[in-house]
Amino acid sequence: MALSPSDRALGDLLVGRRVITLSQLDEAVALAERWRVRLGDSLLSRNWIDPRRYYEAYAQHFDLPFVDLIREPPDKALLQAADADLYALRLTLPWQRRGGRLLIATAEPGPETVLFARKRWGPEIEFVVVSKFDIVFAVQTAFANALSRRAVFELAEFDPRMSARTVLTAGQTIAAYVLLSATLLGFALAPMTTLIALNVAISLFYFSNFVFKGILVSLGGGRSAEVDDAVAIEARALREDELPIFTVLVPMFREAAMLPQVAQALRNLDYPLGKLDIKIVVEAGDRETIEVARTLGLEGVFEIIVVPRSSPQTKPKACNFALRFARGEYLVIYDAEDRPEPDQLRKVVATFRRSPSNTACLQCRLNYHNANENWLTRMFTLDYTLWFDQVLPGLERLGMPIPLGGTSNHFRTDILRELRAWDPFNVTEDADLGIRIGQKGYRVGVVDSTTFEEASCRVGQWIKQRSRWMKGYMQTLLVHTRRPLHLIHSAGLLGFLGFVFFIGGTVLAGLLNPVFWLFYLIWLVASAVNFDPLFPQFLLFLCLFNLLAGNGAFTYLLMLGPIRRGWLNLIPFSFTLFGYWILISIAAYRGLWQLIHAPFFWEKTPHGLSQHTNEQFAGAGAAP
Amino acid sequence: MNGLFPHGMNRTLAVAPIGTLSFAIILALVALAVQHGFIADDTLRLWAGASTAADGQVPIGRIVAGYPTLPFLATTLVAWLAPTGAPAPTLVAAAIFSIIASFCFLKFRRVGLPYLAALAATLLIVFHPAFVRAVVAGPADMFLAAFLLMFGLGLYDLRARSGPSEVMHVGLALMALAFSHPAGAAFAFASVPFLAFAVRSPLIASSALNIVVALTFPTVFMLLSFAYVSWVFPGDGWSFFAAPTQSLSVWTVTVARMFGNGMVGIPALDASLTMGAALAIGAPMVAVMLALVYRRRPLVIPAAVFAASAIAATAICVASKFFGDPAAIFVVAPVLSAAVVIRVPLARERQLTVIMLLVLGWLGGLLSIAMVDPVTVDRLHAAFGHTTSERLDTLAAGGASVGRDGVLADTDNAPAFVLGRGRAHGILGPESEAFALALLFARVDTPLIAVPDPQSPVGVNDRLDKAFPALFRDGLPGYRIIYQNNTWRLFGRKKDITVSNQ
Repeated sequence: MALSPSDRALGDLLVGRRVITLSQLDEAVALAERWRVRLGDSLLSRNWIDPRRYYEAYAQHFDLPFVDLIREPPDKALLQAADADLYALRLTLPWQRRGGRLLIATAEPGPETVLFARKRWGPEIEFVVVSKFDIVFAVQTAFANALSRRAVFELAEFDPRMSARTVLTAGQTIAAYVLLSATLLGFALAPMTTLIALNVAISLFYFSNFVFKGILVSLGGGRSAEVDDAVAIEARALREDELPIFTVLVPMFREAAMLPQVAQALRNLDYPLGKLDIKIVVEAGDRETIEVARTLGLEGVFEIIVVPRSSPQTKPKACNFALRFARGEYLVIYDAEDRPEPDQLRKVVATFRRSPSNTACLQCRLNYHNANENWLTRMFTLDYTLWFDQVLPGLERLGMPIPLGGTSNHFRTDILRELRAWDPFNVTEDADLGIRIGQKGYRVGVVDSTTFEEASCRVGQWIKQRSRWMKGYMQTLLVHTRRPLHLIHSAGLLGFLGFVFFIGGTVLAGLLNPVFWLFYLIWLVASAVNFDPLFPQFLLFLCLFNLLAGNGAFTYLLMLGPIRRGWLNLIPFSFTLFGYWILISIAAYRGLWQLIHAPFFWEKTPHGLSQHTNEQFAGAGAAP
Repeated sequence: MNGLFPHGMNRTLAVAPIGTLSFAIILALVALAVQHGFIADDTLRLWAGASTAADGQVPIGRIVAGYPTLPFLATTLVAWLAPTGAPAPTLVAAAIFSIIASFCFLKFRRVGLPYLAALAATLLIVFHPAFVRAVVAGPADMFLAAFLLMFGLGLYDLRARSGPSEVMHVGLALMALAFSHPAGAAFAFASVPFLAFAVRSPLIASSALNIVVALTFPTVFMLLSFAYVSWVFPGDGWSFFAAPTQSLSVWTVTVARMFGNGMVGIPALDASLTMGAALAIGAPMVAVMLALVYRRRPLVIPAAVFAASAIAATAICVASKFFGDPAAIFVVAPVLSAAVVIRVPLARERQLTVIMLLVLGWLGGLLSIAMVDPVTVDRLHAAFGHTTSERLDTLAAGGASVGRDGVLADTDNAPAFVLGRGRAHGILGPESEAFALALLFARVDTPLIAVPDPQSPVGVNDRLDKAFPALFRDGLPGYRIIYQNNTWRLFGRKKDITVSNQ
């Protein structure tokens, strides 16, 4: 598409004022035409111009005054909290009233803005030009408390049954009480029968759990390679001018050192930089990260969103806050240490276009770039490979609810807003959102593109991270089983069972395993006959089958995972699965303990501990 | 045209006649064989064991630790579900046969063969003498055939993609083979060195050992688990794997006799050469098609690995004397033919050639089966040669015991007795306390005793004959003969007979 005459004139002006060179203008024009964006977007994405100087020239081009909103902030009486989204989206807000006329500050002067503003604020208006960064900053400052409150409580107030703010509802408490009482009564009246009944229930759960996972892996592994290939081809064939604006949220907390790396990873994406709306989301108290972000000299497509202090201080709250400023048709979250494959966003756009219209989210595969660092990272990689490469595609094929992974989930922004985004009280807000998407009639798909992260390489950190996941799974299970019939109705019986086994099964297995290991150990070492009454013959065989086939099946599933990626060196480590399970059980009990005494406490996983990651810092500098 | 029914239902309707027809034909064929006393020893044992287990007369530990596991469990389940006296092994074998027939037809149609060509190819493959031999031999051989087909197709997929599902497919096929038939176990064992060739070269370059570990893990793990279960329950970790050496020695001698003193004089090599020749004669289509596409390694290597595994398995059976006779492996001929028709595009392009070669293979199969399974052929001649066999006597003796409970008999030695009776319920076999006490104290007090003539082949190993050497001839005090034929006598307790007469 040819550049507009207005943008051409602006380009001449910039060259005339020696803000940019002629060759830079030529390249920027070519980019703007290729990407189908305005000249300013292409210039800012190349970092050839200081944003302030650009907007000053922009103002001059339209013969409008330029205003520095930091020095002259908008009149708060003119702003309305309910319109905060609108201001951020249109990059336009009422600034001040002078001489009976309303002055509208905009970073996007032009006919569209004029029409919008007249419709919104009437004809008695005049315009001033401001930097888009100032508008975003002004909205954040003006509505810090309101937006922060909204980020925390919107879901809990709008749809309280879907929020983990209440850990146990009255109904759940009564149900738990009844169940516990019935069990205790059983122990009092018929202890052996009760124990056998419990044993049967647990054994059937184990059996179903590994059969279910086996089916998922089998189906996930059978995912059509043709479809993935077709998506890859379609993604490559997408013209840059038809790609939509893509918002990228990068929530960070005390990770200043990771910023250059993630910025480089985002630059490496095969997506027009001018169509990326990147938000570096930082907490107000994290001065170091804010300072580094400001001084790093990032391109004009990077914006810094500062989340005001409030409780709970969680990643979902930060993302909810930043969502208000998202301008993209699609939105993705990347963590600070993420390195998405360059074609990921293209594949996502291609997949959204071929997916049913109720597709709310596409989950990309996650894996680790420091797999070979030590035993723990190898096991973690095997775990993630099984989960994202095999199990999630299996869930997708069965049409079951998919618990999202922590990052690289790509949303349709409008649906995400409609769903009230993430639950800030849930510490696995991603998994919860995936299930909620299914409950609300939307679907989650899976895309064959990988984001590489840093695996926790220290046992202590790993347990903390996994404890949070376990606690979050417990929260998610409690939230979505509040209305079991509704869940069955919305997700189907298969989806319901899938959810119970997938989320509940993971937690329950972690909690129960040590008990059964202990039983088995005593039986094996002491040849104890006291357990015999607990295991009638049919149950003994079921337990034996679970012990052998379960262990064998899980080891085998873990072993198969890395084959797809050709990481065959990881295969022998699947034999050490038992050690990994011990860690999982420790994390499960720690998560349970935290659920009881600190349900909303977010235990941050530090990144940058990996030797591999540190070595890569050298290669990821500031903006080119 | 989309057809009258939804796509899936159309497909089901298309294969239903094939499945039903093949099921019925096989049932009739096996019934005819049984009528003439032609039942494979393995089938007899399996049938009797399954009937006994289904009647609750075998501890669950023995059922779980039984070998060959899959046919035994399947037959026990069918014996438990089916009406008394139903031929459970035949039903299982015929069901697998019809599934394979339906599968082949469906696959042939799906890869583009016209209806008639697909039908002809299906019939020529599933009624190949090796397949017919397998179905008559019983469920173990049919399980072997089914999982060989799974393995063969899996090898082609493995060579094409080598992803997790393909590795799992082949790995599970190997495990299933090992637990279907002793020869299948030999096949799984023999295929290990060749598996690496079936994997895509980049993966092999990465780590050949680890990919082989992934392919063989299910088999090894199940083997160890099985040993563990056998150790926990019957008491001996490897008791499930009783080496069937008798059938092997008969087979080796018979095959060697066929070629004078053998071909090269080394039994394992002789057996391999025999199997190789039999496969070439029984499946000429495979050789011709692979020769025509010899430059396309992904099409040739899987078939080569498959055939090499079969030949090596034959050698292992003979050399190790651990897996019984390798005759069952001959079913590779039609199975490989099916895999080649499904996976080699040229086979679909030259339909007439393929059909002609399959006809040739069918005729060759008749010749080959005499080479690789002379024992069965001899037995077939005997069964249909109007000679009264001791097996018919055993079946008749079992039939004579119908309606009476408490029959003391060594059914491990004479499983046909259980079959003749129709069910194990009412038999006091070697698992029972009465049998153990009878042997221990040389005293019997059961309503009925069934013993074969100690001079007959079946009587040589009968434990009752050994414990009571004069039993067949003189009976026991308080008992009298209530039934006899050329081989068997049934003694009834006089007081019971008197009571029943009153």
